[in-house]
Amino acid sequence: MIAAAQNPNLDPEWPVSVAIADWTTYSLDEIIACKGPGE
Amino acid sequence: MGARTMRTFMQGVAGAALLAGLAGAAMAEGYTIGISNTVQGNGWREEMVCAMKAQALSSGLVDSLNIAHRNTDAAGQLEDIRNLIQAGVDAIVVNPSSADAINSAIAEATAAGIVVVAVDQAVSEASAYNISNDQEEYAYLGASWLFQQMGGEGPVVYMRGAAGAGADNDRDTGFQRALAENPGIRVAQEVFTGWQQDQGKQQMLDILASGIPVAGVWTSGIDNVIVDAFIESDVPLVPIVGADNAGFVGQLASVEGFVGAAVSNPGSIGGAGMTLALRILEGQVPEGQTLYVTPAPKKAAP
Repeated sequence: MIAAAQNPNLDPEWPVSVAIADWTTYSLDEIIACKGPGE
Repeated sequence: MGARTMRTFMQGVAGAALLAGLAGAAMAEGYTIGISNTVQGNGWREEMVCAMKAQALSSGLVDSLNIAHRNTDAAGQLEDIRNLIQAGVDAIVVNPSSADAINSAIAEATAAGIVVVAVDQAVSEASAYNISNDQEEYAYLGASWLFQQMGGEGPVVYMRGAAGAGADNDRDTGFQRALAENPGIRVAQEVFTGWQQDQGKQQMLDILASGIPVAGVWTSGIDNVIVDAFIESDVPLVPIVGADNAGFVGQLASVEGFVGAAVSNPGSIGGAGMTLALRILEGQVPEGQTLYVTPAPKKAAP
């Protein structure tokens, strides 16, 4: 369970739960890019 | 004309062809969403803001964001929210610094027709919507696991978040519930980390240097640096509870002899809050004012 939860691509302070089913539609790359509309 | 006004107008227009044409015009003029956050230098909050931005972009409904993102208190957040009202945003997604101290500005916003969604921790203002992790359950899950690991007895260090924050209050309720179920556990030290990595680490270093017995540590998400503090102090690790932060999860998998648990507390709640605000603007109003995402089961090292 722990191994599956790891994500070496994330900042150590970022939660690994980067998405919430039915509520978020962005990709992992998009949240890491941290860009909003017009940026 | 704001996008909200345009969509309200569209509801009164008959004729599919005309609606289709106006829908195209409305899409060309998307929403402006305000964001208010009062903690910088914290990875969880950074992810939360990035989730808001990414979700706004992904939705295709938002033209621009107006972001108030700084270290401040409730007084500063009142000012930030009033600035967002003056800027004419359609909705405000806010991580509140207090459960009730910013209610006056929120009420002013909703009276102006602005949708307000509080994420991560709730506000008591009745006109706002709240979407968060169940913070009481978050603390109860982790503390119950920890006290079991401690054999139901011994001294625990209780490392809270920010004093007065709604999430900290709710987590304290959960922690105290678990504590009441384990009368052999005593709180050796209780500190507020302010959800700041450097502050929390220094507090743990000081506690370990004092030599007081510690049999377990519960943290409100300032976690990987607590493990670091034990290692740097050359003190044997004890069971530690944290959030599902990447660094802490990595330590659970890699630090030899370390037993801990990570309880899910998604910074992506910021993205969920953005979605909730947009759904309300689009006419999909939830039945209740408060929505929870349930904490995932704890992830404990063997």
